[in-house]
Amino acid sequence: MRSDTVEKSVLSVKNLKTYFYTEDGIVKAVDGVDFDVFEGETLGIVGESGCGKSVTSLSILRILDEKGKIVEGSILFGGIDLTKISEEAMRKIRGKDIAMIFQEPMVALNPVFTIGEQIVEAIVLHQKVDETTARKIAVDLLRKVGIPEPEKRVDEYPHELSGGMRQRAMIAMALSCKPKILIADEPTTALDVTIQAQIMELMKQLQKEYGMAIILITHDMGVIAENADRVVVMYAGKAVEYTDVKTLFNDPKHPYTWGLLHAIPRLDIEQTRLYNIPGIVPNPLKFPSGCKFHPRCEFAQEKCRIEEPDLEEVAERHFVRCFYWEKVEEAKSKEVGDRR
Amino acid sequence: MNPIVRIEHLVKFFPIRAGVFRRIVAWVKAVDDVSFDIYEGETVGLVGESGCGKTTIGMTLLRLYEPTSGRIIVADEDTTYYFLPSLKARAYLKRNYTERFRKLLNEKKSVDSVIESLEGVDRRYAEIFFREAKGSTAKFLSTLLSNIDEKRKKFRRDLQIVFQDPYSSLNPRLRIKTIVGEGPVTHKLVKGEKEAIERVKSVLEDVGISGDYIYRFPHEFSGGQRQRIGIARALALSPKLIIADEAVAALDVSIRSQVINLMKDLQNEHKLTYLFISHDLSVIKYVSDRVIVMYLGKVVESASKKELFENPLHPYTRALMSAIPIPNPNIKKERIILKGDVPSPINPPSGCRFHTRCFMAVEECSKVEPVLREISPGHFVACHLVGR
Repeated sequence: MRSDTVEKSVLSVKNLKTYFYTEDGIVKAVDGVDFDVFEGETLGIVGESGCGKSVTSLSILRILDEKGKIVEGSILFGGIDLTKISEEAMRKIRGKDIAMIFQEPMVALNPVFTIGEQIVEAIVLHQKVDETTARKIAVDLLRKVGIPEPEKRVDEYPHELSGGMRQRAMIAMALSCKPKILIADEPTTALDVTIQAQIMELMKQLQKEYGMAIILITHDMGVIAENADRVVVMYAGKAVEYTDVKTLFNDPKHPYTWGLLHAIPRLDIEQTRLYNIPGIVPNPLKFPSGCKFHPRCEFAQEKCRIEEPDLEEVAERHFVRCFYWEKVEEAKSKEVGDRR
Repeated sequence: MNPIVRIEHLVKFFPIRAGVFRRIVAWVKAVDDVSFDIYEGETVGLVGESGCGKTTIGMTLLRLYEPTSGRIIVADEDTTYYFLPSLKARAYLKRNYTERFRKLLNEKKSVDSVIESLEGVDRRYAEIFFREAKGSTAKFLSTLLSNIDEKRKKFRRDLQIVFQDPYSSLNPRLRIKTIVGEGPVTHKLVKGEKEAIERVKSVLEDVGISGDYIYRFPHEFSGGQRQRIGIARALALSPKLIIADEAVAALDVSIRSQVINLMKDLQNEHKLTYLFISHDLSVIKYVSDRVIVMYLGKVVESASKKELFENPLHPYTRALMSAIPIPNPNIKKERIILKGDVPSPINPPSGCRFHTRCFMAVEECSKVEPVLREISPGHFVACHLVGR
């Protein structure tokens, strides 16, 4: 997809920091994330629970709860900084230019309104059409996302649909205003694998048709490998590696990325033993000093404990936040034989 | 070698009640005629999507549910009647053994030839019936039911489970010492407080948790550590079989690999046997020796791990495998996308239950239910179209 279009950034996130001011202290949920989303492309954000991947997307749409604040950085969308504009201006963009689908469609859909009513609401709000036309658009959208008998389904309530169908309805709703960017936060995590395959296929097809950019947030490296063009790996609120998908999987440079890729059981290769990333995912109230990953990193040195590395461009368009990424390189070359 | 656990024609239906009189209006056919064996020291992977009955099998095996019908044999003992009320247990034993033995005696004329024609549990029970009880039903029943409390206790010790959610499966009000030590104390595997503490410390250290933490509460541990405690609790009784029901599904990727590796190490050290229940084929592939694939309450395919992953035959297994995203962007694989959703187990499709979503289905599939056939040694498939 990337090769035949001129790369044009539709969304540019720079040094984003979102903190939550809780009774227990400041939670630095997002603490330095940089990426660009290019037209028609899929940007994957991957990481474990608490790494800040979801908060990043909530920050883009500015739907954080009252404790959360964007404290630094910018989010440029079509020349405007979304962190600076008024709530009223944001409301015109939210749902129209940037739409979102969530992990649990049962929670994200309103149980007391029919699917149709919920889609029509969005259409009437952002487009100058009456309800009858909006309803027609809604039925067409439901057909497009592969819901059988859309004329009937449009009047059903969310609980009458299966998990996969609900997620399709969510996608229909998100697409109702032809957004430029679709944020998909763990869109298939709650679904069975055969249904996951259906939904990912649908999203790819719709992306082509609408030419929209997708921000795909997931913990599943497989979903990333098959769907993303570019990937941000997050750990403890920070982007630790950012590059295109092939480079990330073929040549990971951050020890965390490398560890993650070795820690997953895989269907495509024989594995004698999974790699252990020692320790636990850190508590966001008490992130470690220096490099946030150093207590779990087998390459860590004294410097990592004291100083925090920057996101550095180590090769063309390959950004890594690590002082000693060359050491990972050495370790990798040693066990190539084991992997292939 | 006899299997540690043998499940024969296991059926579990759940009633759906409605109306003022709570009458049964339908049945959820969660598990419908499933048979398999588990041998000592192996890991059997049970895989399938939600609603396929994999968890129900685990729960029924542990007798947290009573089976609707079928037989569960553990270490050469029929355990099916263990937890039935006395009258039902008697009826079960009469129906399954004494009446059958009498019938066989009529056919074969001599006690010896009846005994010889049987094997395993049946043979042992026939010997008890004809030799010890001298053909008396009452005596046979009293022999089997006299020490039922002990049998129940042994059963509970032999089969242990590790649950999916490490947050809800540990009692928040109990200290780790009690959580892990309760079993060994109840089953009198340890004498006195001192020995109990030693036992708890030693299993905790086996799972990689410091013995100094035994007076802590579950909330003081992370998710991965809690799952380790759950494993320690099962391990403390030296069980014959550990059922791991989605035991790593709720864990983060980096923690998941730690727990999977731990379970493998423990298996090597303690010669453990696992029934590993999961929806995740990649995890199943990594941990299992043998794999059973289920769909809507039925086994559709079972084989050794190597055979199943190299040569999957059932269209559902193939679709399931192809649906899993591969973490390698260099591979572009052909994907079989199944139509529609998994049908409801209340009203499963006729014939082959998979035919509504199958990309290979022919007319026969909607009419005739396929049986599980052995296609090559150890490789069983329930599909009309395989091997034709």
